[in-house]
Amino acid sequence: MKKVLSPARRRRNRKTALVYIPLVLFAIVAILPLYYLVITAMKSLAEASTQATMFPHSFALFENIRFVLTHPDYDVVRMFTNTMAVFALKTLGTTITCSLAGYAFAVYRFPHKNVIFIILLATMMIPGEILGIPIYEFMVNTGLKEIAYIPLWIACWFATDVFMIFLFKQFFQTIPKAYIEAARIDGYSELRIFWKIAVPLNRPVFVTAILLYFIGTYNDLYGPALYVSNQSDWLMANSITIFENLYRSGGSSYLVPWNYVSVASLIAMVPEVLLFSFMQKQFMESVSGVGIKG
Amino acid sequence: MEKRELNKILKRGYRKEYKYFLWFAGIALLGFVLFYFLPILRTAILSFTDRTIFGADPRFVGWDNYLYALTEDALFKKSLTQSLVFAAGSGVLVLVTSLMLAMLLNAKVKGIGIFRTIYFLPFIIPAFAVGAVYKNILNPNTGLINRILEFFGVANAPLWYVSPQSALLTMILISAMGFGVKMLVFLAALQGIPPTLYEVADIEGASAFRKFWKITLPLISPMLFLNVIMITIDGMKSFSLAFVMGNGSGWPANSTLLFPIYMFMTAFNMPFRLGYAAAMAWLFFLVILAMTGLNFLISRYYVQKDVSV
Amino acid sequence: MTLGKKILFVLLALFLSFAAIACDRTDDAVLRIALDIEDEGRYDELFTYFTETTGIPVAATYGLDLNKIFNTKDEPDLIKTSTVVIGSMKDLYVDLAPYLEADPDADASDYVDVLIDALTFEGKIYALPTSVNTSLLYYNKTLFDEKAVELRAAFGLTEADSIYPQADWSWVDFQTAGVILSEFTGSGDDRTYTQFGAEAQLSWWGEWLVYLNQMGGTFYVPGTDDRVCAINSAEATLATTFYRTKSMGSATEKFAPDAVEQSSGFAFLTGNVAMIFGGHLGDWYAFDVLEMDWGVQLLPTPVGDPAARGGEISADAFGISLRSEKKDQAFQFLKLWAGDAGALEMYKHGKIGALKTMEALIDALPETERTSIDHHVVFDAMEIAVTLPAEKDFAKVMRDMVMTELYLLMYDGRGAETDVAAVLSRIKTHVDDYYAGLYD
Repeated sequence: MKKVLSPARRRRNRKTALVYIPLVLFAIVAILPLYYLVITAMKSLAEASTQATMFPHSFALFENIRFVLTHPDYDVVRMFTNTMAVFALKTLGTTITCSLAGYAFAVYRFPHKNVIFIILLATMMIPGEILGIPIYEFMVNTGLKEIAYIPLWIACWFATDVFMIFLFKQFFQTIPKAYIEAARIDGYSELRIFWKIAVPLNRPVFVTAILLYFIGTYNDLYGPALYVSNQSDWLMANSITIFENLYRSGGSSYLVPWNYVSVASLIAMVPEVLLFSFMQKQFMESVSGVGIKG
Repeated sequence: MEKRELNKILKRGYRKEYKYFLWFAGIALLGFVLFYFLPILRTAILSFTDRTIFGADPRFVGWDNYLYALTEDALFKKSLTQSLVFAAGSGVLVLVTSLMLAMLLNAKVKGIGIFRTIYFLPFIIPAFAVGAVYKNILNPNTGLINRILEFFGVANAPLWYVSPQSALLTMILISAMGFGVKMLVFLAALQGIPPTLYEVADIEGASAFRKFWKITLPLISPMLFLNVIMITIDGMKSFSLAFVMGNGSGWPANSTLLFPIYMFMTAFNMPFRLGYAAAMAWLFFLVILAMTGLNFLISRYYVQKDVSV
Repeated sequence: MTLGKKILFVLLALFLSFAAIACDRTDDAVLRIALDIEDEGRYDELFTYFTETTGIPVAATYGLDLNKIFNTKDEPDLIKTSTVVIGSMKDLYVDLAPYLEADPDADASDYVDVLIDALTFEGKIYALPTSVNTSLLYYNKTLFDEKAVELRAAFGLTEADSIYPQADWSWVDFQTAGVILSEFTGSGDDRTYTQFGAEAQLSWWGEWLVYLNQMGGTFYVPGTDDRVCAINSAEATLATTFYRTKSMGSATEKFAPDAVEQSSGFAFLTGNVAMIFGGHLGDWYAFDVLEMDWGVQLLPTPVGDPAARGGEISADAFGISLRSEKKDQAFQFLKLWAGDAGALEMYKHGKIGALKTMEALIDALPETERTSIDHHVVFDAMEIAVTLPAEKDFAKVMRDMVMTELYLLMYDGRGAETDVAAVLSRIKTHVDDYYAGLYD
């Protein structure tokens, strides 16, 4: 017996196909760099460091992994723990201070609030390479540079990430004013309103912020290169530079063993991918649990 | 009489809000002074000197640095124009890609979690791999794209990143891969739209386009605005992609020389003109400030304030 | 406990445990030197030796960006520079001339003259050279061996003669061998190359400038204080034509990749290009890592002018910071570092010292401690090499104005140029305009 689909069902099937086709097409584009990383990790040193082909001619994956894992400078557990410490300090600082600042800009009246905000936004446009010099000099001359990664996270506790303030502001702006008024009438303090109403209503943005900071900390090459010198303090970013600089010998051009770099990059990516797969579930749930917003 | 009374009450309420504002945003204002204002002030002072990175005693040169940038320096104009072109092209591309992908990922179909993870990958993959892949695919002789074009009988296949004529355009295309954060922001916003709204629209028989135009777009407009601002700034400040593509110096033939790269080269390559680079930073700052101001003005026409659902 | 609280708790615990970690402080009595990242651990024995003989401890930092540590309390006592950048950095350094005069064991004349000259400004010596870089022709022996029969036939060589590049090679010999070593399929304009005789240096000036110098041309008009560009000359046109023909010529002339081919993976390091003009001795390490069978030779010269000078010579150098509080101790160390002991230590890592006695020092080493490379060729090359113009904008002018325009000659297709003389005169206009507009 032939199964007959209802028109509604058929329409839904067609719609599903319409979603899947672009999903798969973009997925291919998105996955290509990963594919390249994996095949580079398989290549032998000679091939990987000289040819960027999309199909490997040699197979040395296990040798490469062994080489990376047994390299005396490659203490991955330590580097990961260090990175997590920096990540925790940065994320905690930023989510607390930026969400408060974002809330202030979204909810409260203040003279020329928008002008202040545009000036704040404008500051983040000045390229960090130029502003970095005086900050670096300050960190070194006060001796803060070598203490507990202070240069890497201290700014986060002063809500200096204007993008985050902006992000939080835009989300908090969507809270209906009536909720806040109602809470005030109920005698809630301002901080309590923030904590009990604004934060739960906007859980996705906190999840997004944590995720962005994880990746930001994890993939930040500039900060560690500038401020972290002791080998015992190395962060995950250093795990890749070890191999990038393996065959450096003066001068600006040098041989880079992309096979080892790829293996190290792939290992470094594991926690990021795991976190994202885990977080995106949280991300979805955090929203579906919010009933009152609808 | 009554009105004055009301104003008084309102003013008292306002003053209270001013206080709350300072409580909540105070630390941000302090951070701004410490980490931005003071360094910026120093940069401003530098920009009136001929200080080099290794120079011992800088000389005060007045507006010379600014005048030189505006009247003499051909690369200043070239790199600024290229940055503007890049920001516009890449901005549109990234905005469309990230919104489209976020909407796809917001679909409730089977296995969407896996797709979300895959789409997230370009965001965490090191730049060298991304650069190498696209250089491979777009290689004029051996790349996949030109092979396909050849197969379809295209005679003069583009030289992509090898020719100074098309290198900037190629870089704009590749920059579309930078959708990561913007896609997440859109996704977070889309997640906040209650499904009931669409259900109601479905019952009314609204078309997909109409639903997008009348429900999705207005409801995500605050995030759209955020992303437009961020994309503009990202495009103008874009550094790492151009650095990788152009071997750090705008290769080929200065065609991928974006303004931040030129500024960086001025300060940190011979002859290390830090003072001049600081003046360039300031002029650049004014350009972006104007663009952001313009963005804020335009936003009045599409951003819904107090989107209460 | 909700997940949010759990996360907060973990974060807080991490924060507290982390805040407890203290820093290790550096000792203020030590002499500090900043070295490159790859030098880590290489010279520890030398430092220990110095500390044992003088009682002064030495601490090295590796891979720190000089741009950043300069002017901070992290600034080292001994700062690296080179003959190329010294013009922009000299304000940082102490004049070493009085120290050298006062010291009976050290003298400026111990060093290769052109290098010490490049580090001297108005009688003040700002740094001592430690290791040399010079232009050489590198060749891949394996690729040459594969074409032994053809090479012998073309050069009229017997079985006993070497088929590798010779010291007396002219540009024509270079081209003859290069064409033999190139392989392609197809013909006419439809050639697809699978191997090349030589690489083309498209983003670094080291090859083009050699041709220009060898032809007897100069980049600046002599006597103009390096402010007027001289490359609208006949010499420049001849040199550039050779540079271009090498990549863009007909099947019997072409032996190097053009810009498009170079983007598809043709390189000396890849093993599909037989020769390269190299300027940096640090490259040796990469060749050895890849287990290539390679050799070095003097650069080829224009026909009829075998004595033509043109190769580049430069050196890394170290000087003493003006802000150093231990200038005398620093000079003691610099003497060792830039002297015999330092040079021999650096030789172990593929570097060639800038001392006049360096060749003899290497010759005195036992065979097993010498590198596989014929070091006599390096010293012969140094003899006929020249230093770059001292003009401090030279590198910028080359990078931003010269190589960019020359690039337009090196590919086929839209926007490409074919008229060498026109491109050169355009470069001259750009460069002259640049100097005319410069306000300092």
